[in-house]
Amino acid sequence: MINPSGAAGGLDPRFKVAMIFFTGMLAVSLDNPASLGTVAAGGVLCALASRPSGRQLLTLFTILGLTVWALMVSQAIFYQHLPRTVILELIPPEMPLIGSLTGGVSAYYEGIHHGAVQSLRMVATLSVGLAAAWTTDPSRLLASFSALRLPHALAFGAAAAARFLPVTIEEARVALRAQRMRGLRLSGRYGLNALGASLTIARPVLAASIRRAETVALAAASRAYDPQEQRSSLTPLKMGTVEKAILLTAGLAAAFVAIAKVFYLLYAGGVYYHPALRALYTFTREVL
Amino acid sequence: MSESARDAIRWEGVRFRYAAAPSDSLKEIDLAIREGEFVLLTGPTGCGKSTLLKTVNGLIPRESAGHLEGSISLLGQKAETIPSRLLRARAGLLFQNPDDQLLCARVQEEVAFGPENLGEPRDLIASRVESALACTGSDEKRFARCGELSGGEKQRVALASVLSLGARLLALDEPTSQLDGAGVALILQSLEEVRTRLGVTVIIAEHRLDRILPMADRLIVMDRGSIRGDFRKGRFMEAFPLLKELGCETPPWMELCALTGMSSEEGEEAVCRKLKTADLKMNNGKSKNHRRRGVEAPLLRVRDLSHIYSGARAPALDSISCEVKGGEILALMGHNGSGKTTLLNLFAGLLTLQRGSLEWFGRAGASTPPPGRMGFLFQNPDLMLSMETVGEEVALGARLLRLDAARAESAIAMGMELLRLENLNDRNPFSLSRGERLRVALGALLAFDPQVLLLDEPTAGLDRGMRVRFLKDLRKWVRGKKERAVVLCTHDTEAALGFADECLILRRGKVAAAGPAAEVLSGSGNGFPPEVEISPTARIARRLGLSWTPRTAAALLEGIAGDD
Repeated sequence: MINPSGAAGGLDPRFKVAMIFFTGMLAVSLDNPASLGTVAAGGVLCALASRPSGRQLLTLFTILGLTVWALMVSQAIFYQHLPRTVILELIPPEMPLIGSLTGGVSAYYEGIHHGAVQSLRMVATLSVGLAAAWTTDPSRLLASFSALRLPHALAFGAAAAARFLPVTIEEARVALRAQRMRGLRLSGRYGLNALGASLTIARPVLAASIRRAETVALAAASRAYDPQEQRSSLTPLKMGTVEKAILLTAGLAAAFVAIAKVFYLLYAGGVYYHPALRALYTFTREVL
Repeated sequence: MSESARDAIRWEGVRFRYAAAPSDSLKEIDLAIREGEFVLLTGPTGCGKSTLLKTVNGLIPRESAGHLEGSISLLGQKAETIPSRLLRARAGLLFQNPDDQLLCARVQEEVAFGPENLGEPRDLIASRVESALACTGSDEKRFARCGELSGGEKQRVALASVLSLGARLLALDEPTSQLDGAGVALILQSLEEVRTRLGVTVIIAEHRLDRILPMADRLIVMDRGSIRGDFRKGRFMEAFPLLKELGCETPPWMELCALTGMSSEEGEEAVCRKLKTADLKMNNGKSKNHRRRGVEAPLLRVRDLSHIYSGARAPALDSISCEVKGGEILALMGHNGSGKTTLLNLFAGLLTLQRGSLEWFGRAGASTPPPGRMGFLFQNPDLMLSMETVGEEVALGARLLRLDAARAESAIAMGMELLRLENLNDRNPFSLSRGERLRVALGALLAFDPQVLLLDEPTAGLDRGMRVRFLKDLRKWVRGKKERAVVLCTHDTEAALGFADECLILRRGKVAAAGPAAEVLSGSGNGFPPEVEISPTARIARRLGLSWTPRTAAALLEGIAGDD
């Protein structure tokens, strides 16, 4: 559910869109785990400051938890760079059939570390994005995209997704209940039952989502929504001085990090070096 | 409506076929609707009503894959020459489910969404929003969140959102089918207001004629893509044989006219007046109206049951006591949010028991029902369908519950036969019609041989024919079987009167009324319960001053005439 009545709801939607963009820029540019962690923590604080409901809070932490877990596990197994330290042998190379087929599968410490760093990038952008989606009315989001000359079909898609995500979650819950009533068991060996249950509920939930998507699209078209046309807005967009100051600071910080990274990469790649930038190189290597 | 009124919309030789469809969904439609008319469009499910309405604002053919022939004119202008945005501004379309058409978080933003899309200046948007909210009685909810409104309020906001476009023609596709009695009353009140204040032309597709027919200037009956009948106010009774032939819902006053051979002067009031003055004997309900009460041991017994959701201020259920006896259908009624679904979920063992006791099949102290003994048909039966074919879908429960082969085979065969699913055995459930999908979902439950069926508003949005067939199937399954029972959660008073033995009405989590359905729904004693929409036959019975409520028009007449 969208909650535009909190403090964050009063912020100019262009401010929120720009903040998502700058957070994305920082998340992509930064490599240092401490700095990335700071940005990710900031993102999570933004999400918490948007006064989410209990269900939204659960959604936030479920999505973030799954993201971190999935990236760490996948990187632990598929990490290809050297050096790498085996911390767990999942399938020994000498295991009959599967061992020879796969050449052995192990989990690597460096992979886990790499996955954790990557997941911080996702946590930062997801948290800020969710906070914006929860506190912005879709029509305001569309207005901000129009004002920023961005394709507002993107905003419509994102807003509709945010609007109907809880409905889809509820439908998944009902589908699961329906199957449980018919004898489906979730617990079982190796989580295979849970996997089977997920597949069983995926089909009806997907079918319901497709049907709804069609209705939503027709309802929007019936109300003259056309992604190719310019829209107007009942409530004028208005950005306050504090918002402007924060935006300027965030923009300058994102631009500084990006520029510093470019200079550092040019220096590290032996393309360009200037002695006056030595402090910047050091700062970039140590902090960014 | 003045005689000089021009055509609001005219279809000339219109045919439409959806891409990949084997036949036309609209066939040779020639129809003109005058400005300011209120037209009620009816017909069996799949007759082409929704398709016709989608041509009103150009969703067909512009947003739908398919081929359209013929010509459509809107206010004298060929529709194909009108730009899409302008077309949508002139003709608004309202859909069935309000939840799927509200796109914004707050009412005001929702109502402004349309004029904003038209790129209107701010002042005009503000005045359109103001007028649409006032006209639909939603102005007090202007700053409310859409998600917190009731079903009827949501549909009113959806109506306001269409009106704010400045539409002169409104097409409404079963706008009341998902609403409870209170919701239906709200939306009809708004429509009356819209019609009288704005003089907007209204075309409304509906299965349930009783409430809307008195408002209509014309009744148009469709079947298989064609218009089968067009009846003007004052001649609606002429539609009766056609409506009967097509299995459509007919208001009880029509039934009474047909049964008594009264003249075609229609209208409930007129019919009641005639009946009152006619020399008919009143035997006050000595008809087949009353069903036997369940005398078997209860399959479910609830004592002082309370349930509160985490974070909620008030309990969803508060000290509920009731029983579900073998061989009976219990109708569970009440406004949205009164606790019906919570009670069903507790019966099903899907919620943890917090306070009070719930006995399943005479077993005290259990926290969940025995596996496979309860079947739950959810409001949206589509969410239960997960297999590739109907045959696999029906057999799934027996397989998962590991029923022994003989019992599984007999239960599956019974489910397939009772619900006439044999011919659909190899079809994909998702390729079936809504009524067929509902039958498959019910068949999938019956096929694991449960003892109690819990049904959460399964007939919402179905036409009369499908609804009656579905309820008859249910009755056939339960009637005379002391080891079986049905709990039917519904807003449909006719269904409860016609098919339920007992009725339990909930009000804010408490029992508001309980007892035999005919007694509870007759409103004898404390008056008609405000939670339920009075059924048309009950309304007529009250107008006639009867002290009992007939289940059907035939029972009413039988009761009036007596059968000494």
